[in-house]
Amino acid sequence: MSSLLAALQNSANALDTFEKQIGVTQDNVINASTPGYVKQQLDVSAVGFQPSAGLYGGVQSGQIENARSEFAETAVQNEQMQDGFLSERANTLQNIQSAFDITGDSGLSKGINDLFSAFSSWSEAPTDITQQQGVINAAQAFVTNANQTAAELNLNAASVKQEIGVQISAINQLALQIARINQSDQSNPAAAASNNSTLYSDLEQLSQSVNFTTVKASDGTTTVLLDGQIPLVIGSKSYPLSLSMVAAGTNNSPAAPQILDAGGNNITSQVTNGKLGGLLSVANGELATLLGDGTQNGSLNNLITNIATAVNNLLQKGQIDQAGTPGVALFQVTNDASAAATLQLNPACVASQLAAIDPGPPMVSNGIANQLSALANNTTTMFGNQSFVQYYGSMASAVGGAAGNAATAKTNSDQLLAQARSLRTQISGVSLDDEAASLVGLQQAYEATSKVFTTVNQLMEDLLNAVR
Amino acid sequence: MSQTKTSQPRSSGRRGPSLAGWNKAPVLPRPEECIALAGAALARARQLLLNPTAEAVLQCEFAMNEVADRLRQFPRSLARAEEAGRANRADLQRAAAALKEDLSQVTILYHKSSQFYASWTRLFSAKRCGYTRRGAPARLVCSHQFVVRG
Repeated sequence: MSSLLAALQNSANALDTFEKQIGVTQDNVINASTPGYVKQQLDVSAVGFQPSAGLYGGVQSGQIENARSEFAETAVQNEQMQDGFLSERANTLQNIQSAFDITGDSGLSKGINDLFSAFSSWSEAPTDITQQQGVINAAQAFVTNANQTAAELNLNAASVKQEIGVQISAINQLALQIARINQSDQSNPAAAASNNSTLYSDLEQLSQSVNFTTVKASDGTTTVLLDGQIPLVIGSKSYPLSLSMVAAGTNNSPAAPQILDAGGNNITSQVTNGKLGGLLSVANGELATLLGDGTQNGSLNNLITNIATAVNNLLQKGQIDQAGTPGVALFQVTNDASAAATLQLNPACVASQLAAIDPGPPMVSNGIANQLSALANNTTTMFGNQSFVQYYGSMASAVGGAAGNAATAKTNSDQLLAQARSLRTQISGVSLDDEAASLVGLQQAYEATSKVFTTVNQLMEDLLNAVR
Repeated sequence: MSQTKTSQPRSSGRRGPSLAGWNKAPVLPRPEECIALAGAALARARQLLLNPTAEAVLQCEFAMNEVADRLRQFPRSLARAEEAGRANRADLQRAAAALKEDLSQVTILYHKSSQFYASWTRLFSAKRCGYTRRGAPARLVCSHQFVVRG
């Protein structure tokens, strides 16, 4: 009788196992094209055969093992974060770069060059009304160029701010969706496996926007922590982020974006990756360096303030005529983070009031005009012993260099992301035995290839030395 | 019907490809060609590493060996070109810098995938085979592995 019971028990186990296998296969077929879904497999194990101990052999199913490894998902998410970061940096820096023209054919560099050329021409005929008017016209063009450059950069800053808001909304929306999945898992643990594909898809999208880590809680829910510390999702509750624009100083600098957690704490410094991290790095990095922030006026404003002040000081030191009528300032300029945006011509200064005469002694009829012309090549320690034009060039090339580096790094990052996705596919949905064989084979392949890479890198150094 | 015999050129009667010149030294590419050929092999390696299966990694080894061969040819090729006054250093420097950049990218792809598998193997070993007494993941045992010795 006991052997009949054993046989029945054995058959029941086997039937149950096969039923589950069929279920898993159906899931795989149905979900084959579902985004975020990977093949699932049933972990089947043998039952020991020892009738005296009540073990009658056969097979039994273990838990359905989701072939998608947390490990592979994390690898993709990490690459996705880096890719998002670099894509935003590359895009925004390219836009900022377009505000600068280093060829001297247009924009602020042309404005600076033309202003000093006009001073040079005027110095040769200081009383010639045409040359005087030429200076006024060049000064007006310089003002317009400075205002336009500032406006373009401010427009970029506004666009970055808007995009930061878009990313925060996306993050909050995804956090809410993940919290709902957690809630569903809590109320129906059996559905947890089928929710996984949606969960992983949401996490992958989230990784485009921000850096985070996930932790599996004991109840099967997924906790999402920004930078490993700040809760975005715990159980069925999400913790939304918000954006705050803070005027950081008294120097008229643009308001700086700050990211606040659900408790209102400033967590900006902890957003280091993803699109949000990329946008913040440009807003608080390159844009702040150019336009200023609470601690500095910004390189563009420093340049404008210094040019305008140097010109004004010389003109006010000079005199308009032999009678000693003092000169007037050419520009109205501030010494703060709004200098480029608010620069304007002094309405009191017309062509006939330009002070070309240096009172000396000895008095020189074109002395001031000469000194204004020479300003083009004067270097200042404030600008690292560069002239105004050189300083503008280094400012523009810094932006161009950062944009170029971001674009190159983005290309590399695209490849790493593609590779991580491919690796995820490779280790998902493989039987445990196949996986073991595959990993042993890979280990051998990598060991063999490693030596060639070492050789090639050494040969590459030799080649570089040979062509030096 | 009559048949006319035409004279045929004499041949040795040996079939198959001509071996004429088989013992000649291989043609040494010009320096810029060495770099270009190394670059093409690197591009193949990069493509393989984007989807790094065991087979792809082995193929990558072949591609990298070709890169190494081309780089080994370079010094002789450069010396010959310099003797003939044909070496354009500026162009070669630019090409070499680009090749170095390509190599860096491929090396990163190689290391990333290698690290991925190394970490995954550790996790997988621990999951499959448990831990050693010292607490390290046990060595991965593969039931499909055949070892041939001798």
